[in-house]
Amino acid sequence: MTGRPRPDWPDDQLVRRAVRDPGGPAGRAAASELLGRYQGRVYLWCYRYVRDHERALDLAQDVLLNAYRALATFQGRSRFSSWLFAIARNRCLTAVKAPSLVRDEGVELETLPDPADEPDRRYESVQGEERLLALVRTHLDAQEQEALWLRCVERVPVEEITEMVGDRSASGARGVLQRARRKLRAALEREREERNQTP
Amino acid sequence: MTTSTCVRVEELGDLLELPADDPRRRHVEGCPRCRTLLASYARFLTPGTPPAGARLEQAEVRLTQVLRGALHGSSAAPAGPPASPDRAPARAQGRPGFWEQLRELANAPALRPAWAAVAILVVASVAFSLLDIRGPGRREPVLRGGAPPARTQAVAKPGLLPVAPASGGALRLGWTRVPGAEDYEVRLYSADLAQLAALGPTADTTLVLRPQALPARPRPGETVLWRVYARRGGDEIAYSPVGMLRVP
Repeated sequence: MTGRPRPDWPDDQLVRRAVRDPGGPAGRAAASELLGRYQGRVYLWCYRYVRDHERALDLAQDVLLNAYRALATFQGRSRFSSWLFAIARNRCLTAVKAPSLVRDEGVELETLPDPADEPDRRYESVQGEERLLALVRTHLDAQEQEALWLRCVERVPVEEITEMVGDRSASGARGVLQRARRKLRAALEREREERNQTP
Repeated sequence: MTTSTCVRVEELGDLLELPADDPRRRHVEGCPRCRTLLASYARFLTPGTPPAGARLEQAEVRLTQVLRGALHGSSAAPAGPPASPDRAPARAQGRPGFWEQLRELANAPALRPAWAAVAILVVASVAFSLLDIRGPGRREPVLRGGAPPARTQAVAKPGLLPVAPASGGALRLGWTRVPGAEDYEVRLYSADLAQLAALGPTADTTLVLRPQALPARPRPGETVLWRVYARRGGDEIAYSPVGMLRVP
């Protein structure tokens, strides 16, 4: 395998060459081709999180440079694309704040009670995510689960979730998320009442 | 929030090739975590139409330059348009060549503030050479991404990596290692070349800068110049090109 890397070379071929000769021109050319073919996707992925060109660029730079520095540690046991996706996802998750499972200022601006007086928020902090997840699985339908997961765990903006879950209604994912949270709050309230009634 | 059967993010690529009756595929169908992860991965691979406000072409140009800088460091940057191994991919994928990219950048109204900043950088670099605050006996003023020096260097220079934001309004500065260097010092200058601070020495090749913690307290949005000095036994043996950062 000699010469310059070609655009039709598969990722794993480029990875092998980049790892074999990390400081040499062949290895650098392979790394450049490999990361160059994903740079647009990484930027768009970051943009969807932060909705700001400059911030997305900074994040994408971080992702690509981190991937380049870590390329020697890539074992080839998974696909390069999913390895890079993991890096991009982790970087974006650390860049944006996670909304609460039961309350989201970006979705429900009209219903913002005093956080100190929210029983469901207290419950959330005490019981942890596992219990909430069980309630999510029990009380929400598949679309609501998916939307809530994307918003609260993957920290995806609401507009993006609308596209991802394919909701065509006027309110888009906002409506799905409001419905999901209403159900979840009702379930939490029921649980709380049951606990209070238990001697 | 995962179970023992949940797939790892790195395994998502293989998941798509498993038969439909594979236990892991079946798990994904019923697990909101894995289902949404798989949807996210598919979205990453096939982004579709860029969202409103995204400037994909500009981003590609910038990221190509960043990658090129990181792959070459500052001392090995090719001199110009002649063929270089890592330039080939950009052309092969239909992206504009270096000079086309430069023309596009020059004509973009949105980049005028950036060109103004570049002008500051150029003036500062010239001033650096005139005031002889550049370092130990070097003579070639080299801008980031600019043409390499004509003669061979005895000691490699630290190459500046792109400045990355860090938590709490800080910035992460990074540079390439210089063989033989024991530690590095980072010096910061204002646009009028007054030295704001000298940080280090540090043996690391990264440094988290908290602008508000500097005695000079640069204002948000202010342009600050920076340079890395490689040292051995307390003596400067090489210095980087002048970098520029904007205080967040």
